[in-house]
Parts: sequence; structure tokens; C-alpha cells
Amino acid sequence: MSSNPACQTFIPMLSPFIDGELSPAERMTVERHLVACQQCAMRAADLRAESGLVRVGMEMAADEVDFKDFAQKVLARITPERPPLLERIRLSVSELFTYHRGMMVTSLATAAAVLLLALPLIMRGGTPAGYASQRLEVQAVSIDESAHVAPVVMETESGDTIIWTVEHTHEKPGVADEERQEELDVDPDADRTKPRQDAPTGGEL
Amino acid sequence: MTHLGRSLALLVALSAVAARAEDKVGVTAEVVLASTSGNVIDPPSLASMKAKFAEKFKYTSFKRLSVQKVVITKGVTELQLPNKKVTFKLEELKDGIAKVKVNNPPMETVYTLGREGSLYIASGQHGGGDLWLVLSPAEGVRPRRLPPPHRATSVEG
Repeated sequence: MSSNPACQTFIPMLSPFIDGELSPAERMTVERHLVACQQCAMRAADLRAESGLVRVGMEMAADEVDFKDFAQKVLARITPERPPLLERIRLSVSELFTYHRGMMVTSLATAAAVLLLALPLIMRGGTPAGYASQRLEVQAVSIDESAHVAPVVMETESGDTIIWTVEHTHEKPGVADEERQEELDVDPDADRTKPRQDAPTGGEL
Repeated sequence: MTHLGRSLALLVALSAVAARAEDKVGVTAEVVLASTSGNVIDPPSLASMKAKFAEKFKYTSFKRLSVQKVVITKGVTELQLPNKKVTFKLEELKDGIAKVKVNNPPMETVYTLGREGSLYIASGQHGGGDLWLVLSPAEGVRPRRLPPPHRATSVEG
């Protein structure tokens, strides 16, 4: 027991003093008393030792606890159940149209405009219109009546077509003028690799 | 009608016009001077033309005078050659196949465009040789090189 009556005032303040919970003024008062009172100084030393023991004991107890997946376990207990995907999408779209309506309408209008402009180009494909056929095909060759020449059409194996004219004098003898072919319609079944039989054979121009 | 509605209507109209405005085709027109004097192939790519002509003509020299893309429409498109004027007209564009009339006096040729092959039309004499008008598919139309055909293999036994 304490013989000094002042100690009765300071004893309750010793524990807060050790824990650093006193105000500066109270702390100075207690420190002055501890200098003067041997018994309270010993009590304070005991409290410090006791506090140290408790801290070491707590640390040893904490070391034995497994904190692995601690955060996940805590979050799992505080996070609500995840809604299904469709529900989340519906919620996101709803929030977008609720809080970003202007931006969404503008974006959709822009996308529609781009689609409208790009659609004809996409439909046209990589080949320009007019080139649907694999190979070019000569449909007809005609010659001005006043020109005294006849056309010769020759198609090569590589799909090229060569057209030139020859003088009438090169035509086969015995062919009447009325029968001369002024317009040469190409027969698709004809052998394209050779000049037409009724046309004059070619040669050096 | 709102501003947005007017803009969309305008875009629809523009796209419709763009879709209809395709009644035109493009071809590459080359003018080549072929002669029997000299042995010049200019540019070297004309060597293929020389090979094709070797069967019927005795040209030894091929020189490209000009090359340009000609846009052929329903109207008359002119191409000036060194010795005369050639005109083109789109006769028909049906099912993606274009029928083109080439008036190369005194000859007139009607042909349908194809992705392969070229049309060589004799175009008279010029500069000691003969002019040839070479009409080829426009740039970007020519197909890529086809893979070699599969060869059948027989398994005996």
C-alpha cells in the first residue's frame, strides 16, 4: 500500500502514462512525481515490464495465426453474390442510357452513318463492277464500209485477243464482194487460238 | 424533323447516289509502237507482248508511248493517239459485266471486260512502225497468280 497520500492521485495515471495517453501537462506532473516518489517509480517500472511482456506475448500469438487468403476470405464475406452475365449487361446498358444518353445517341448515329456509307463499298467487293467475267470476250468487230480492209481476230491461249486489219486484196480469191464479211461476229464455239478461216490470214503489217 | 434526322436522311441519300454512280468502268490503255527496226523492248514488260505477237508478226522492237487509265461511262470518252482519236463508250453494264464499244477508225470493236487477258487493237501506222492500243484490266482488277493445278497420282497395288 502507499504511504504517500499523493500517490493515490498518481497511481491511476501511471498506466495511461506508460501508454502515452496523457496530455503534456499531466505527463510533466507525473514525471515530477516519479522523480520524488520511489514507490511510484517502481510501480511505473513494473507497468512497463508488464506491458512489454504483454506485447511480446501478443506477437507470439499473432505469429501462430495463418493469415493466408485472409483478404479473399474477408472480401468474400462482405461482397454480395455476382449477378448473371445478362443481368450485368442489361444493368450496364441501362446505366449508359441513363447517365450518358447524349454520348450514346451520338455514337449510335455516327456508327449508323459510317455503316450507310460503307455498305455500298462492301457490297461492291474487291472487284469493280464490270469485271464479273473471268476473261474478256470480243463480241463484234465491224469495219467502216469505205475502208478497204477486213478485220482479223485472234485469241491467244492466255486469254488475250489481238485484232488487226488486212487489205482486201489478201482475201481468198473467188469471194464475191457481197459476201465479204463487213461485220465479224465472234462465234464462242470457234477455236480462238487460230484466226478465223473466212478472215484473211495475218502477217506483217 | 430534328437535326439528327435530317443528317441521317442526307447520308441515306448520299449513299444511294454513291451506289447508283457506279455505271462506269476503268481500263488501262497502253499505246505501243511496234516496228521491225531495231531491237528495243521498252519497258521490258513488253517482252510478253513480243512473245504473243511472235506467231503472227515479225516485229523486233516494242516501245510504249503512253499508258493511262481510262474511265469509260455511258457517254463518249476520248483517248488521243499520236495519229488519231479513239473513243470509248460503255454500252451495257449488266450483272456486273460491262460491254464496251471501242471506236478505233475505221474499226469498231465491242467486247466484254474480263479480269484476265488484254485486248490488242491495231491502230495504224506511225513513226515507221505500227501503233497498237492495248486495253487491260484496270489496276487492282487482275487476279492473283493461281496455284498450280493438282496432279492426279495413281496408286498401284
